[in-house]
Amino acid sequence: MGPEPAESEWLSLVGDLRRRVALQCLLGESEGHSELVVFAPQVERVDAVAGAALRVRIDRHLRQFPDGRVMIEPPTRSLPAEHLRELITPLPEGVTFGEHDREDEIARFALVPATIVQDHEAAVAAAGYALEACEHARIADRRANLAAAAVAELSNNALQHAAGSDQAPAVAVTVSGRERVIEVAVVDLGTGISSSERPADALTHIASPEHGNGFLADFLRRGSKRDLDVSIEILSGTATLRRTWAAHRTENGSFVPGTTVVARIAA
Amino acid sequence: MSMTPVTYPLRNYGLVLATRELGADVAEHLRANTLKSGGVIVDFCDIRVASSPFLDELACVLRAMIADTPRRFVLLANLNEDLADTLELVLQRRDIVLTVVRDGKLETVGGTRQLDETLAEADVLGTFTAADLAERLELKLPNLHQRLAQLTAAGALVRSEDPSAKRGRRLLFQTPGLDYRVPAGSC
Repeated sequence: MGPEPAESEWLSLVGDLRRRVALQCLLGESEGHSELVVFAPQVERVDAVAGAALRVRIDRHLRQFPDGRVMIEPPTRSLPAEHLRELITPLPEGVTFGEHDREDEIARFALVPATIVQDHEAAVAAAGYALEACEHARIADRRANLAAAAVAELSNNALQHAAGSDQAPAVAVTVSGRERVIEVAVVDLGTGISSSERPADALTHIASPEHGNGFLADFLRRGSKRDLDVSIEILSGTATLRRTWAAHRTENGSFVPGTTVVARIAA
Repeated sequence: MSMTPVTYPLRNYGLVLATRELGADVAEHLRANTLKSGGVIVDFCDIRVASSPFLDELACVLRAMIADTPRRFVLLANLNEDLADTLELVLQRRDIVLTVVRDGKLETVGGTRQLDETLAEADVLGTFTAADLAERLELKLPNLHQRLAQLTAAGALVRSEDPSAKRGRRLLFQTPGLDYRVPAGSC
């Protein structure tokens, strides 16, 4: 008799796997099985947040089970399948994505596939990669430069401020739509804001263009000066903050672990 | 100390310069490696992106370098439009003024229009006394002294005692010579 097959943990994903839904579905507590099945045939849409969150989940799983496996069953529809494949390849060892291996294809959606950022040097390296990818995708310098700076600084912010978690953050960058909107998403599992009594209050103190002195405020200032339509979205715990140069809004919703920052750069 | 400048190329650290940590490292190397130089040109040739936290660290160290060694020029060169915009945001927040060489001419970053006009006229004179420049700008001396102090703190001017002064103490001001003028298209 051989060894008993390992029990699997199944993550069944459906529909629009973006933003808060992606974080809730992908970053929940683990069940403690060494085999993780991400079952996504019915997924219709994904975004940079979904890619970064999936990468964090995979990394967390493989650190917990160094000999473990992750099997991703891709969406049935070709477009979300392609987007998810671009976001998650190259695959780490122990991870499979459906039946096929098409890693050499040119990415059209994921400028930077979801990447774990271990330290500030990795954050700068990811920014360099983002700049090259933007150049390859013929994105104008003024947007490409802002995106690259966002990759480095948002990742580094997560490394610095994600208290209460030993899980490294992940970053992903996508370009989509007729206007070729760039989205830089950084996902971390820090509990400082998400587990605070009032996450919405904590978020309103971040990214204020009038008073802030960190990168988020500079990002909005630079976008405004360059006539770019830029915005920041931060999801942490029960709160969501949306901020542009001129306005901000906070909302409360269902809980998501950690903190996710999305920098959006439209033309 | 010779006034010959040392050019410090930032491209040695990559084409994307970001994070406060990298900024602190680069600034410390810059300070340590130019301690004995007569002047410094911080060269941004080939740099595509420099984030505000990186530039903030660099700017603070440049301000300290100028204050510590006021008898040398400290200039920035080859900033693209994006870098100049970001640097301006950083310097305005810190109330710092620095000097760039653009197409062989000197300009301030973080300074006012009046400060740039003063620098341009000073540069025409090259070496001058405050009275010379005041006459040229049709300004009263006390008003000019404030601008001269700002330009000295920006690394654009150095001052020395005028040996030809017949009575009392007189200061001579000087703008950077041709060896500081990075020619257009050199990057």
